[in-house]
Formats: sequence, C-alpha cells, structure tokens
Amino acid sequence: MAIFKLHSASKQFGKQKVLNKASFSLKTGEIIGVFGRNGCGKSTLLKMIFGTISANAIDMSIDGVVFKNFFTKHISYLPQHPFTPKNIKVRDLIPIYFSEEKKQDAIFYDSMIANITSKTVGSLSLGQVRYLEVLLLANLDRPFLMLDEPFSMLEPLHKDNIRNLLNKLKSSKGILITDHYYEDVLKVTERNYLLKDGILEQISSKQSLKEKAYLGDSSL
Amino acid sequence: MLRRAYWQFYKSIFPFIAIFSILGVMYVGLAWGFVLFATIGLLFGFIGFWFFYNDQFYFYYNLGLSKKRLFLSSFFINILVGVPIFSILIVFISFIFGDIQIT
Repeated sequence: MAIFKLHSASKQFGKQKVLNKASFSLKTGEIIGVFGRNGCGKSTLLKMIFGTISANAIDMSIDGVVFKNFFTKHISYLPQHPFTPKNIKVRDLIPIYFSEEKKQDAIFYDSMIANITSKTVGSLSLGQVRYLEVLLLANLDRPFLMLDEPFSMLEPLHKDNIRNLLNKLKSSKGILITDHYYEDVLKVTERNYLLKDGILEQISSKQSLKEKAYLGDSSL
Repeated sequence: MLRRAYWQFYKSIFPFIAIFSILGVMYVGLAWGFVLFATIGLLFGFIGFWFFYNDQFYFYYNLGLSKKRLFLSSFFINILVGVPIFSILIVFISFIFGDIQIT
C-alpha cells in the first residue's frame, strides 16, 4: 500500500490566494472526492501536484519520501478537457501508451472499446473519449490517479461504465476525483473534501456540502 | 513505447512547420527556406501545437514527456526525417507550380 500526502500547498494569483496551505492524504485502495465552486482552485491544485503548474509553496510525499512534483512518475492525471489526439485511430493510439501486448489487450478487448478501435478519436462521442482516456491512464503503472471532471457532460450509461471502472481500479490505486456531478462522485468515494477559501476541509455528507454553501436548498 | 509518442508529436507539429517553411521558400528562397525549416520552423510548429492543441500536451505529460523533451526529440526527428520529407514536398510543389519564389 502506498500513501500520498499533500502536507501543504499554497498558490496565489496576483493578490488572490487560491490555495492556502491545503492538505490531504490518499492511499491506494481508496477513492476520495474534492468539491468546490467554480474558480476555487480544484484544477489548479491537481495541476500543481502533477507538476504542470508551479506552486508558491508545496510539500508532498509518497510513503514519506518528499517530492517536488510528481510529474508522471507516480501519478497519472486526467485533465478537464479531452487530451487524446483526435486524428488518430483508437487502435493506433493504444500502442503509443503501451508496448506490452498484455496491457494493449486489456484495452483492446474492453467491452466499451472493442467495437470502436477502427474509429478515429475525433469521431467518438465525449463519453467514449472520456472512458478511453480513463482506461489509458488507469493502465499506466502508477499508484495514483487524479481525475478532473470525469463525469461532466456524460450520458448515464457512460457514467456507470466509468464508475464501474473506478471501483475495479480501487484495489490497486489511490484515486482522487473532482467534479460538479457530486451525486456521481459520492457514489464511489470513501472520503470527501470541500475546497473553500483556499482550504481543504473534510466533509461527512451531502448535508455538509449544503451547510458549507456548495449546494443550494433544492439540491437535497 | 516513447519512440511512438515522439513520432506522434512530431506528426502533429509537422503541418505547422511545413506551412511556415513553404511560405519561407516563397519569400526568401529555397536555401533560406530550408534553414527556416530546420530552425525556427520547428519553433513555429511547437507554438502552433501550443495554440491549437494545448490540451493534448497532457497526452505526453502522462507518459513522462515534458515540453523540453518533446522539443528536443522533434528537433532531431526534424533533421533526420523532416528535412528529406520537406525536400520531396518542395520538389513536388515546384514540379506543379514551377519556380515558387515570389520575390
């Protein structure tokens, strides 16, 4: 079991403090959720951990070993927008990520992928692309996976597929999800946090999301 | 595995490099067009990718490839593969349109 710890992360854009000593921990075998209103710094936080945005200050470790940033050695990251090249066929895309036949097969023969391998990524629906991207990242040999809005704009069937995939992955990975589709997130997470005023605060229920002004009255 | 990723990235930036360099050939001549292709054409290709396909950088980041590594690998691919391809492209265009220098 590996344990990722974000001891402290701070980020300021001009005078606006987006993250103020935010901290959390994540171990393999669990899924955690991070909620927060638009512009509160969720994506910034994930990108800082991944290493593609610089932090004003960041202190994090895996199993006690401190890292400056993880830039792909330990963490894979699904960004908010689709990231796979659009003009390439799915069957040509998979070998770019995996040279081992076994890993290629795990994707080629996935029930959602098997019938779209001859299509280009650009011709797939958003749900198919998201599923393919999660599947690619999930099969990378990294203990942690961060997903930025994996459920956004997806039809219910695709959401179910992604949730099932995440539940399968949980045994070997630590997964962090951030998404406004809180119902979908709450169905798979064990612990949840709310990012507000730059601070990550653990929340216990949907009711807490309302109390902290993330959800309105009609959401419950 | 990474060889395929480097090649995929180069294929994505090649159209930008080629367009820039063909314009270069038209305006400053064949020799300088080649120099542009092999030098700042690559930079132009990189900026084009940045501008139009910025989200796709994450495809490479997740494989552990930084922008710096992508740029360096593209430089070498450009010299080894791109220059011959560009030569063929120029010959082909010249064959169809004749002398393509316009100044």
